[in-house]
Amino acid sequence: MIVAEQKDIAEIIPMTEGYQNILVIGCDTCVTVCLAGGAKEVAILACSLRLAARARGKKVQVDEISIERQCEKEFVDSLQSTVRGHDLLISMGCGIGVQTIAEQFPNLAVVPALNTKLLGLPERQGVWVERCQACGQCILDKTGGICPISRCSKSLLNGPCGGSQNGKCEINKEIDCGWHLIYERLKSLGRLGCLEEIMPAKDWSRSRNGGPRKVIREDMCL
Amino acid sequence: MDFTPAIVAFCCENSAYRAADTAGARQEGYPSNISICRLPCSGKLEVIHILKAFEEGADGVFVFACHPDSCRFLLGNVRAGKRIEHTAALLEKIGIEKERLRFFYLSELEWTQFLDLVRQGNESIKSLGPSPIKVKP
Repeated sequence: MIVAEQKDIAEIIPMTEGYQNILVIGCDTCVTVCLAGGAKEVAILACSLRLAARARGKKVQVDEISIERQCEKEFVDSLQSTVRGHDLLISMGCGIGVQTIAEQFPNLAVVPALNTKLLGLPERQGVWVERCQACGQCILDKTGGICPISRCSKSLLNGPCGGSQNGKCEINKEIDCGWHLIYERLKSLGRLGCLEEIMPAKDWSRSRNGGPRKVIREDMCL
Repeated sequence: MDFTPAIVAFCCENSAYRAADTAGARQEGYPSNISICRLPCSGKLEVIHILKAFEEGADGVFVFACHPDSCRFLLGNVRAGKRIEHTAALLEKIGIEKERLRFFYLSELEWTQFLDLVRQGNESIKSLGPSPIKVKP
């Protein structure tokens, strides 16, 4: 899932300066699971903004709503009647949600309340870790299901660098060496032979190097 | 200035709520401006409950949890403590003094301590004056 975290309220408050009717919009999908932008967080942010305005002697209307998914136009379209009368929309979705709302409501100001951090999973209560960098060319079949792009700090493709020690990365002793994990995993699977295959230089044009990416399914296009 | 603060006291029903009940049964008065809100566990308290209390006009919010290692639900008091810490930081950034939010550990037997804490807490909120969101409507 997409993992995000809320911006500091001190960063959000200045974004609302000059606006009188604000709508805080949550997303019930990824950011609800990572406790950043679901209905609960929307209620807290909206209440915080109302209190902050009143503490500064201002009167501001802050309403709240949360929709199923901010990253799909069909769901964002359901906001048509709700946004009426508001001059600022605060999205508590990931960066995709913010942009979908901005595209659907081109005449309204839209600002983000979250910082989108990573594609990952909850490791334990309150902790989320990165597992994918959406590089566009998955090689998990060769690495025992452990991604060297996201798990190795240097995104190396052919084994660890010389800096790892005792299974830990040289950049931070709390980070597991991705290639150590790959080795141990392949060993337990009896597939260490996979490591003898030399991986060629990665085609990074499928990642961010090729500019904004697009996926087209011709068979699905109408 | 003669000021009577509005204070909401969130009390775990397994400890402070019973202590307050004992204090009441013994006809030991505590400030009438303190409204007690009964919780099934202090861990049930959410950030939004505290913010709403301030939004609805509270000048202070007290939260009473069971002593460490005494929570009937094991970690409810730990959760409450962390949420209070988080909320206090949030209040400060919003413009409400974090001293208006107080967190106490208490057992059901400590009814005299309950009285002391709410009386002292009441005085400390009084000294802070009205909540800033009430002063500037």
